[in-house]
Amino acid sequence: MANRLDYAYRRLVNVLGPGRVRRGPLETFVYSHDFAAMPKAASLTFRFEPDFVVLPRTTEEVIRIVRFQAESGLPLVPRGGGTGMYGGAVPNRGGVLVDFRRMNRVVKVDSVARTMIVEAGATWQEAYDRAWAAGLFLPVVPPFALGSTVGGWINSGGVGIGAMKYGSARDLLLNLEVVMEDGTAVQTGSDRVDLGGSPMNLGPLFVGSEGTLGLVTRATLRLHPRPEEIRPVAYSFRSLAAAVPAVRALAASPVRPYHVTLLDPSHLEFVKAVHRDAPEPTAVVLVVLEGPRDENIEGEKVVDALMAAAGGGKMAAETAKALWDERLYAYPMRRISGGLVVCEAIVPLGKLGEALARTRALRDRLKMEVGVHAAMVDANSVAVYPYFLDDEASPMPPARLAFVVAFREIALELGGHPMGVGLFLVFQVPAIHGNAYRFFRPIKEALDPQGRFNAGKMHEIRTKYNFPGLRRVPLSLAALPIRALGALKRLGPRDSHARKYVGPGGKR
Amino acid sequence: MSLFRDLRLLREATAIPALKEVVREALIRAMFVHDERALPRDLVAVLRKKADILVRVKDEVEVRQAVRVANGEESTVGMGRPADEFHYYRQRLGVAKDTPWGVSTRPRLLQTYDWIVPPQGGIQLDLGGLDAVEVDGVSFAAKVGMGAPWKTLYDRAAKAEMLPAVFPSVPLDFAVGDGIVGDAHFRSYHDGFNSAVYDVSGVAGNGLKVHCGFEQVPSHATGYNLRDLAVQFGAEFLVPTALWVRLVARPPVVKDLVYAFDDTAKLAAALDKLTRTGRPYLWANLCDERAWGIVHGGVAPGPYVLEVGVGGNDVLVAARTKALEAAVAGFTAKGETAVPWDLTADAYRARGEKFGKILFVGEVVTAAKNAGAAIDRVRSLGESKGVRGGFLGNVMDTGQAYVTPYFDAAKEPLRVYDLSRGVADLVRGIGDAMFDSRLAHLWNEEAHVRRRTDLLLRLESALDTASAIEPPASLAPEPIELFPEGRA
Repeated sequence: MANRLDYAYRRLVNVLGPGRVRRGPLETFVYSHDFAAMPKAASLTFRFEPDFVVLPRTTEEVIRIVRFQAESGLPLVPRGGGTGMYGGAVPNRGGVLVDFRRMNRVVKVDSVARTMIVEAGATWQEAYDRAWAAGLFLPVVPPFALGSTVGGWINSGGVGIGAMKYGSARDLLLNLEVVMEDGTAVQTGSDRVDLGGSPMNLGPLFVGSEGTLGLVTRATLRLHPRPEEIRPVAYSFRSLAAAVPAVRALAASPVRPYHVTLLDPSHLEFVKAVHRDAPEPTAVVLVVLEGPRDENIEGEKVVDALMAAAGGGKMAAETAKALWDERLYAYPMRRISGGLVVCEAIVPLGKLGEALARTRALRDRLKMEVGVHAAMVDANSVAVYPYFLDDEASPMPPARLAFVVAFREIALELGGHPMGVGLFLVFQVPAIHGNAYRFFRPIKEALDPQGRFNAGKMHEIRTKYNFPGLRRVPLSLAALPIRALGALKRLGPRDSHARKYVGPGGKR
Repeated sequence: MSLFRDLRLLREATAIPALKEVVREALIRAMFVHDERALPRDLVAVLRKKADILVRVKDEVEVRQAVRVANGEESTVGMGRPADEFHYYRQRLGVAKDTPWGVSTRPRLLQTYDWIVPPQGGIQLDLGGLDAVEVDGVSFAAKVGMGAPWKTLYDRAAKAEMLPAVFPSVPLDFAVGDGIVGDAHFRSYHDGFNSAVYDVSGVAGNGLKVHCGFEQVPSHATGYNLRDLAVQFGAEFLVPTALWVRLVARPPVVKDLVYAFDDTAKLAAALDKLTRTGRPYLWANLCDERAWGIVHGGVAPGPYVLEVGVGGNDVLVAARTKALEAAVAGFTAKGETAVPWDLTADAYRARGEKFGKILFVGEVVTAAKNAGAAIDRVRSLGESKGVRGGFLGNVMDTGQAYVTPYFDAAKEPLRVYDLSRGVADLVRGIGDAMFDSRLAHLWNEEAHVRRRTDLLLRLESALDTASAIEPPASLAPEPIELFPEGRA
């Protein structure tokens, strides 16, 4: 006898056909995590495996899926490339996972208007390549551009490569097509003109909303003319803290770099472990200039002088190019331990030295192996990305998450903020926003009153249990087990994945 | 003051579908020009109302007190109102949604015209006293009170060898906060206002202090994007008291280079090419002869003038100037003039006052290549209406041009409405263009805009559930009897 889910399956197959509705155990397992592994213990609280995975190809199909949800009551969870790190695109109560990667067309590139219309499931790399081929430039892409989708990164709202000169994905957005909870598609702006800060521009609200307000199906992005040249230059320092004055001087200079990356020696140690030809571990500042060649030549002279004045030694052009070419492959060291957890935060540039020192102290306290790299967001702020090696098969991962929580608190104490919300870090949102956090629930309830989209990822933690008293976890309690396990981690042995790592062919 | 109050009242007044189609624009016109003969009595009554009390606040504490009074959490005696006013009970009786008593704000300066629906009683806050500007000289960020003039920010930043990230689109003596509570536009060649603001702090409708953003860093991936919401329509759901804005380094050499054109087609082609150079210019402003005369004094070098801020060291300035001249080929004269912001505060204010006498109706947003068509049409519109029309404008590296038409006409409502309508009509004939003004928002009834407006109104209601900030007006307010006869 068919149960409720069997009927739901038939309905979905009627909408999409059998090839684009999946419910097998292997497929649902694959969709039960994102870039980071889900701690096994968390399965006591959440159901990560979706009941169904659906792969729509058109906005009309997405609309029909949303209407189906209204009948079935199954939660909808949108997913792009699965490159998120905090469970934003992972189900918490099963339901229907909407994988957008079949909606991956670049619909239009307009060379005259310098715009691109692209579907939500296209990767940033695909969009970048199409723009480049048309003589244009998509100036801002996420660090995971190879796999990160347009809709995914807009929903997560982070910063990426090119932020120093061009801002964030939000600054590229002209218009979004979003399927709302009533099963209608809304245009948040205009494909033709930039509504900017107009009160009638609804687009910015969806940036960083983690897919909790509607399903983004299409985006119109602003492009720029293709630069004559992209020129990376790199400088080595004895420590990253020693490079901070040079970076501050760079921010105050007449040169406007396209991108500035700061690599801690710890980061390059791990890279060296897996790539023997990688640069020797040292603190590195990689400055990328973009634009007309004559500007870049003069810009390089200015940067050379600033870095030299702060004790930076210029690295070979090939090294700089290699570092830049590796920008989309930032975490090869994942293979050292079989897992990696990345933390993200923005801190004021003036506090970078302190942020690094406190991160190192935290690493030592928790006896972990931590690498750090960073990227300038603007002249005043820097995004810091500490990450730690993590064996996903070991029983300790939840304990290591104490590092994530503690690092994010450091960012707040330094006047910055952690980045990323999602399933596992929603409990920190009140601390991040203070009283303004009280706006979160009204926003969700105004645009998605029935809680159809990705509920439990923004202002509350929803569990897999559907009983009063168990449906939600109070935000204030959520961090307690992680902290308690963190204390245990301090008692345990020091991590030694990198020391034990033996590369392919037995080489170290 | 509230665009959403205007929108809500208009919707209520045209709720009957037949009316919606037939009388909407006539109604907007009658409301805008206060044509009382053409309006029903209840609507006239709404339009005649005004705030009960105007308070010039000195600090955020006073703002909080005003909001608490509106919420009934504090007596109104200190504000010259009896304490037993009905608002004392608004929270407890749950009558807040129907009672228009609340807190409203006014900008320091309005570029265009007033909102249609005035506050329906309540407390209006003059934020001019919140005029502190803090530039620490180390970080590229400044704290700016809502009432602080942009020029003060510019001068303080200049002392620290910095520049504000954005400049006023029209040289009026705006407060920085007018970008949120008013209709001021700020932008540079590279940045829009929303990307130049780190944080909007203020007092929410529940009386609590809130930060929609972070003081020293931009807000990214922290959940719902409160910063952009606050920049776009923050004054509709909170009383903003201060902004944290981004500054940029002032280059060692800054030049204001001037290129004159005798033909709008050549000007537009030059603008399009300019935005394709990939060079980081500081600003790119447009004006006609008359506006030039007010901004710089003297005779303009041509009928259409492009001013570009070029900064850098000597070598970069030379390279950028050379590239600029190649891009804007077609000019008839060139030169260099004083940076338009480097005046004394008094001179800047006096110049702003001259512009303040001119009638502005909004801003035409279009592709740079279409800027010439927009300018031509503004001029012909003026001629057809018997007034002299001109323009100011800006161009951004995105390829977008912002043309601000102005008219030598008295600022009386009928004239404003008529010219606004004319600009809206002429924009329809230009490809990839939009008329950005409050009247244009009211007129626009395209299906997708209407749907978006529904969502925005719903959102705003949710963010200020008790309608303590900029409460809506209602055509038929229910009389509230707090002390029914015999029970008082």
